[in-house]
Amino acid sequence: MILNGQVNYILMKQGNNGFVEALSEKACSALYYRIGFKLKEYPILSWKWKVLQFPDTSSAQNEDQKDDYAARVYVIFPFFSFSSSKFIEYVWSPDMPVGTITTHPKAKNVKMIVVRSGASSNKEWVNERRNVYEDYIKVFGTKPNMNVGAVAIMSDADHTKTVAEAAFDDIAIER
Amino acid sequence: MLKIRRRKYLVKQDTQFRYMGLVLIPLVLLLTCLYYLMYYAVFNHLLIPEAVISILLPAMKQVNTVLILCMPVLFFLLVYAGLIYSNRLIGPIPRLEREIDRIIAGDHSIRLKTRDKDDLKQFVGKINILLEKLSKAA
Repeated sequence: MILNGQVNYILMKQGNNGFVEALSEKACSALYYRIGFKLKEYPILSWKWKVLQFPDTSSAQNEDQKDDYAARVYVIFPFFSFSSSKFIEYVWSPDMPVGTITTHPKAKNVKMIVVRSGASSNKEWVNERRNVYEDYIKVFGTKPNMNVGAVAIMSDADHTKTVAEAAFDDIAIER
Repeated sequence: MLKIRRRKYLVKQDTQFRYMGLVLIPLVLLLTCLYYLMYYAVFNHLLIPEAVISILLPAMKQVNTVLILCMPVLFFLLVYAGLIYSNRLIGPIPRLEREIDRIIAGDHSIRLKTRDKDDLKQFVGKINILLEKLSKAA
């Protein structure tokens, strides 16, 4: 899904392992995979990621301009309309502390959770494992009453007009 | 032949409104469903919240503004067209009832009248032929 310029999502291979590398040059677009499942049955989402370059937010003058992340993983709960749907974004932030939860300034139903902060040592793969069911209750205050409709990844640097680069691998749902 | 001008467009409120409702309500429902279908199709295609917020919502705002501005005019035109077309069917009925009452009362010289665009014109024409034949037979 192209939002503002096209991010290059390239399928890479390292030995026997394949992964997706995302290179965003002043661009913002996402890759989503439609997958319908009940969160109660598959509450765990796991993935591997690494950030190769964070977007430079030093010249950003407001929060809107800072809204660029090298790596985001979305869990999307579509339901009749945008306002009745729910969205959880897991982000890797360069500076916000892990555990920070924010709400999108233009949509109350879009919650962002910082799951990783700062650069990883030697830009190595980092494993994540989230209990999305519990995260949902934590951020929305209610049990999920709708199914997951899609999982997405995104790397964006369109607000800062800089470059962001990240890689994603082994995205999986588990019981 | 004497032409009868259409002076009132609302002659039988209940019946005319019922027929107008039968057309207008499904039409409005259909348009609402189409509006929602288009909205949902685009939302379901975009899916990513940032895309929905930056692309779909501003477009919907624009569409909604145009709809709000156009709605009174559109509503007026629909009701106006509904009145005209329902009147072509229902408009002559009260006058036909009065004329038939006079025939029943014994005035066999009466012939039923319709306007050029009335839907019942052919039917009323045949009743007039029947009346003509009956008065000749008598």
